[in-house]
Amino acid sequence: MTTDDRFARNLSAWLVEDGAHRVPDHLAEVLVQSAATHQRRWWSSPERWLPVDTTFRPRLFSPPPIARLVLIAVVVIALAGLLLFTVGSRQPRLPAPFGPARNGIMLSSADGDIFAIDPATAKRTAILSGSLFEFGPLFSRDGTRFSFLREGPKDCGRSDCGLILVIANADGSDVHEVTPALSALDGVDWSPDGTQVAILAAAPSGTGHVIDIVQADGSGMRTIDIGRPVHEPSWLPPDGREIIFRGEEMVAGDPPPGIFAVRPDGTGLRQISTRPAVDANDYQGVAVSPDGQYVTYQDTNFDANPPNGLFQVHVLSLRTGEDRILPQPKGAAAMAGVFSPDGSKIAYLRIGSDGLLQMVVAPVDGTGLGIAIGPQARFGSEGPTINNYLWSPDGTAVIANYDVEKVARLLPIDGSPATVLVHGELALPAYQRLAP
Amino acid sequence: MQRDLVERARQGDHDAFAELAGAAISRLDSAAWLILRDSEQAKDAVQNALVRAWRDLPTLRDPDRFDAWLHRLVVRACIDEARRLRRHRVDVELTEIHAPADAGVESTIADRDQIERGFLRLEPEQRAVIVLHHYLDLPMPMVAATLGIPLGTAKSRLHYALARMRTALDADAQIRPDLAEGRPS
Repeated sequence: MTTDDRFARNLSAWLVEDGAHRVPDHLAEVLVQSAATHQRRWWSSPERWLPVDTTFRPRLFSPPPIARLVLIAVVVIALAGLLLFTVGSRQPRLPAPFGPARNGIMLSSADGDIFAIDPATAKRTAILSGSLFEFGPLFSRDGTRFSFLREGPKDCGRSDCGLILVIANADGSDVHEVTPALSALDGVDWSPDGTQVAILAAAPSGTGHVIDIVQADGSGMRTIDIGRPVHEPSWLPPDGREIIFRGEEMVAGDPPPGIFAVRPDGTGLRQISTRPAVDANDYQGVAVSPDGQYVTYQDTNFDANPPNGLFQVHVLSLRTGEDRILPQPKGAAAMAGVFSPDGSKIAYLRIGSDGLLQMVVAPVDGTGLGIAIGPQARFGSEGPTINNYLWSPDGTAVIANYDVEKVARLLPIDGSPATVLVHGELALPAYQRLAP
Repeated sequence: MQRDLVERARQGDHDAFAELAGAAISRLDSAAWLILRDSEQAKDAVQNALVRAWRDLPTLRDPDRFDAWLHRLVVRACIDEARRLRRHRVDVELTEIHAPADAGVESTIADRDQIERGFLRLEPEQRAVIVLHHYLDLPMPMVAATLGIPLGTAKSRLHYALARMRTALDADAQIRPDLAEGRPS
């Protein structure tokens, strides 16, 4: 018998002996508490189900100020009735790097390598491969560079060696690490000007995340610690003067969740959400419109389906505070909206009253139920099986992962048939935005 | 039998859940105590985990995964409790982790007080992996699944946890003669 064997045997014996004297006397207390607790519906609590890559979904684009657009439209109509039928499709220009643009290549990752994918042919070419485990590519907003995550060195001497944020040119050249290995690195979002990247990393308190602002040239990083766990950071378009995020309620004693904004230098913290949270799961799925005028999030409508409720998607105006709920068919729920490049539409996941999932594209102004696109799917053992969706830069389609079939589909928003872009165990593709 | 109880509990049958909880609470309580080393904290962790289990049972898609799922809830509750506790306590830190040392270990492994002291110096996440593997006898793939981490990470976490315990035992062995001579360690 080796020393290792003896050590393990003694350790096991001690654990058994030490744990044997426990006489739990609180079962009755547990049962009283549980009996007073409502069970969730089987499809609830989306945040646990959505893979990490969901936080990588691009939030690059935006809508126009509605009132101004309407005014302009009225003037245009008055001057030229000919434009009456075209004003609905007119897309206001947003400052670069926002607004609709030409589609470039796609990037994805599989088995620790990064691949470029030609959306026209679905041809896959490895651009970063080797012994390092790399994943989670995300293009900068101008499409010239991309970030990805690299597994930390395995010989770090800790149980968790963390992840490293790495940046490269769009063709895979000039690869450079811009952070040390960080625990719980997550939620990457490029600043509008491409000079900085906001990331989530483990909070010093050990609970949840803080926001780190990383210089894209690798010259350093700083932490914004507002004293509570945060999640889902997004730079506020068009100039990135603030970072929008969700304040989390992770453990008892944390303040309730909400949506907040803070300047990149850590000053100017303010609350954006306008009503008290209904529960700890409130204000999930935060995404910002491309003109920085709106924020979308989801909450639970407990009145619609007591006691478990139904998820619903909100659009909150940052200018007026108006909070609009996107309408749904009776008994349906909606999750995790993403704004279209021109900001006029929003793509989200609908859960029908029959429990089936389907992507939906609807007008941001809430004037319709929207159109369902792509195939329906069922829930899997870990929750929704449609995950990780994003808009094509030209705004004509949504790309979504269908986990059960292990495919990423291109779903044209005009209702034409969906096509399979990527087969296999690939993560969420990142789509390159080229100048209009 | 258990599958039937889980199915019923998922449908809202609280009596079925009571039976499941009653069968598991002793095992869970022991595991929580081993991870946290604090009776009240362990009790809170198990209580939170079981109430959460009842609340979230309808979201458990595979009834055969109930045990692993419950272990996961308890371990997570323990780690949350430990993190809350850590805010109010200064932990003993070992500044360096060395590879397992053969010399001197064999003479100390029989001393369970020393094992306990070594165990106490581990982070709750490290204690959790040891408890799952060496106390609940879960194979490493199951430990990884229970903790929601890759198998390689689970193995390396176990390796470093044991290495850290051994380092602590060696340090103890060196400190004890100093204490016997009345010198501060």
